[in-house]
Amino acid sequence: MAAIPTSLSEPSVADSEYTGLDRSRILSHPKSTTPSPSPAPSLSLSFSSFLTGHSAVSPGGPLSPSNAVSPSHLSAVASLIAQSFTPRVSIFASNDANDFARDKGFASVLDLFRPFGDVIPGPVVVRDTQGISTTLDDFGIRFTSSALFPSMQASHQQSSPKSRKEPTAPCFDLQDLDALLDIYLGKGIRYFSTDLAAPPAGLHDDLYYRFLQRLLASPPVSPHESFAHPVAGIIAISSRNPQPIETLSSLYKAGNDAVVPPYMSKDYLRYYVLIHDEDHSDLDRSIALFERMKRHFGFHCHMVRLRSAKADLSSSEPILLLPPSQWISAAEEIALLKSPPEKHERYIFDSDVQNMRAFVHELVVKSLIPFMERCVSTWNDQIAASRRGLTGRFFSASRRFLGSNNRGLGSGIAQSATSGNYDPITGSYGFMTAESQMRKLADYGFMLRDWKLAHSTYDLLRKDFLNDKAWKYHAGSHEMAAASLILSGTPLSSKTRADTLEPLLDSATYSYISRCSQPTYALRTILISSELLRSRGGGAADDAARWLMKAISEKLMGNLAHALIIERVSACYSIRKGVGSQGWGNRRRKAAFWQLVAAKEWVGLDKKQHARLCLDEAGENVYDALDWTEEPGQLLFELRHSTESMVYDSSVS
Amino acid sequence: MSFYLAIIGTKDNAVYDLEFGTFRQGGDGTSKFSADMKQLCPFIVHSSLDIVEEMQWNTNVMHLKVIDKFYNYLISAYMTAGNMKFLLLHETRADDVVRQFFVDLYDLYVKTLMSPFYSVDQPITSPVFDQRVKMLAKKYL
Repeated sequence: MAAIPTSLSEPSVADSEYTGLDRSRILSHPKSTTPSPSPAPSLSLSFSSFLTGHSAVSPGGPLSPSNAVSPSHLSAVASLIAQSFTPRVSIFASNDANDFARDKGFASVLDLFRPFGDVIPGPVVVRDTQGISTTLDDFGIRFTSSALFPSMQASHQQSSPKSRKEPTAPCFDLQDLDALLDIYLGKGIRYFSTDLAAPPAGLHDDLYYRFLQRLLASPPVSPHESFAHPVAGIIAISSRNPQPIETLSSLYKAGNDAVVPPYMSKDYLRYYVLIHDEDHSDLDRSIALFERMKRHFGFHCHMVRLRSAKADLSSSEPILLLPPSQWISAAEEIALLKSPPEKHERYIFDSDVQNMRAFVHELVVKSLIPFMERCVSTWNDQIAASRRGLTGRFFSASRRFLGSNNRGLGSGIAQSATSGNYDPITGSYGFMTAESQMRKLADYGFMLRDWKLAHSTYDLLRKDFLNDKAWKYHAGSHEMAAASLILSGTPLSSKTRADTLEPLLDSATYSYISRCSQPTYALRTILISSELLRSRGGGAADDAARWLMKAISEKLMGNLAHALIIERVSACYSIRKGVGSQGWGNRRRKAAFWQLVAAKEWVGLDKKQHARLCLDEAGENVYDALDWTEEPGQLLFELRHSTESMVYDSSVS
Repeated sequence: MSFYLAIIGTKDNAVYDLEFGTFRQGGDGTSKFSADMKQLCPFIVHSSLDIVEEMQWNTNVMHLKVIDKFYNYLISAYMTAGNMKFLLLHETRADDVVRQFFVDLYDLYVKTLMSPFYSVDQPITSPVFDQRVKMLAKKYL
């Protein structure tokens, strides 16, 4: 047989190449050891390895005060943020495929696939518009449910346009985040660290990154950014299906006919997956079916061989503990943490893991990335290129002055010449409009980490959105322009920061807060940029602290998050190292001061253990050297007294 | 309006501190800081020393003007030739008045320093000094 399904041949490659990943991402439970380790630590370990894809969270703490900003740290934060803006892949699964997943002990196909999208095993090569290839080793995709389309509830109200106001879903749920923080703090800060000897400074980072990850994990589908719009749709059936080709066609049709909001494009990549049941189905029949699928649906097909039996500790084959996806939302994690360990500790056969990885790798490398690259180059040539350069500038200038006259004239090719693309009632652009496609181009560029392209496109867009008074779009383009500017690695002199970055962030937060009352998005803007600025060190870290203070004074978050962000201000200052032997220009006093303010806040919220940790650190670094026992240091004295019994003990977990 | 003045020694030690209010606009010279703010004041001023240390090598003037802020509060600084720092936490920007206040305060400080019973970095406990500072505050702020 000429065409052996790739999943047959790949595991050996996967075996040799990805063993390193194996150890860090998925905890193996060798059968020889006693199968009853206490569930809590193993869960915490699998959680705490959330950043292990990056070298920076190596033992020893990347941010321990003793060493300066290292390049690996830069990539850790940048990579966390880049990973939060990854392509979404919706899953349309047939009933038999979902039944198959349930037999394996998962809720659905989505549930089974999801953990494998976090980090794509093996390098992923992306070509940018300049033709330069970059290798990403932390690329990920996010599997989402097809029900995430905001379809049905919005669609049939079209008869009454009044009710279809601008969608105002928050970027994340503040209450859930606070509740989650409460659980985290209850478990103690060392819960997140595998390294028991790590200095507390690094532990603060782990907690904060965890918080940031949850905050960024699941933005809702929104018109103003296309990150949550699907880039691809997986149509999955299992080998148990009696009418496979018909089912695939009908799933395709269902996806195609689904009513989606006018701002969302249905031109996404379709990928057809056949799940072969190793235990019950005949392999030859499945291979034959797969050949038929390829003839019917073309190149974007894959057959993945999985066992349908439920893996548990009593089975004889090697099994692995499958941790939940790192990018579950706060609500999901709360549910997970509250459920008994039997519920969420799920095992999977080693062979299944290898096959799944091979599948995801092929999906990304052979289909998804080329598809996105194609989209980017098409949009870049057809839409964005005409806007760049001298002629483009004249064009947009004439558009500005003649905009209202032009309305309705250029409906065909010269769509970008009209200014009537924005629909103020729904607060969105249709998906075919030039603005919407440009935004998508920029977003794809951002997801593929072509920061320069993304930045220049966001930069073009923000002027258009201002002209159209599309405030949410306006805010969004400013937000991402700022983020891509910092990520692109251009040197940020204090002049660049003041002249370019500051106005971008200013208008982003102003538009989000005042013009479209989306404080959660404003908070996201500030947290992303300040974290990126902080990673630049030097004067940029001061700016990072200042932006966090803005978020604090605007009261954009819940109580616990508020205290956590105050604590983060301190971390922004402590990253700044002075010059020379005396460290002129360092910010150790500032850092200690904000630790103290945070401690005060934590005491007020009855998180005394954590407050004590902050106090001890502040004392150790600065305050202990001063003889401020009584008079001026009254506050320090009081706080220390109130947290007396809470001297941090690492055995408390 | 309320003020918090601190004289910080060469080893980050507090030599003298005073909290006071304005006598203008019907004020009675007592500060109106909230209880939280009263406690935080010394720490805010202490944290501003980071900025003072960074700035002192870039300039040859003694009055560094407003160097830092904490929410709505501004911090002005004055470096003496002997590396003592005068820091004033205030609410509105008034560089000229603050400069005059600092210059006169420097005068008072130098007179204290000339006392044979006083050495550098020792806390100033003299009631006369205290009295004179309060009069200066009344005069300028």
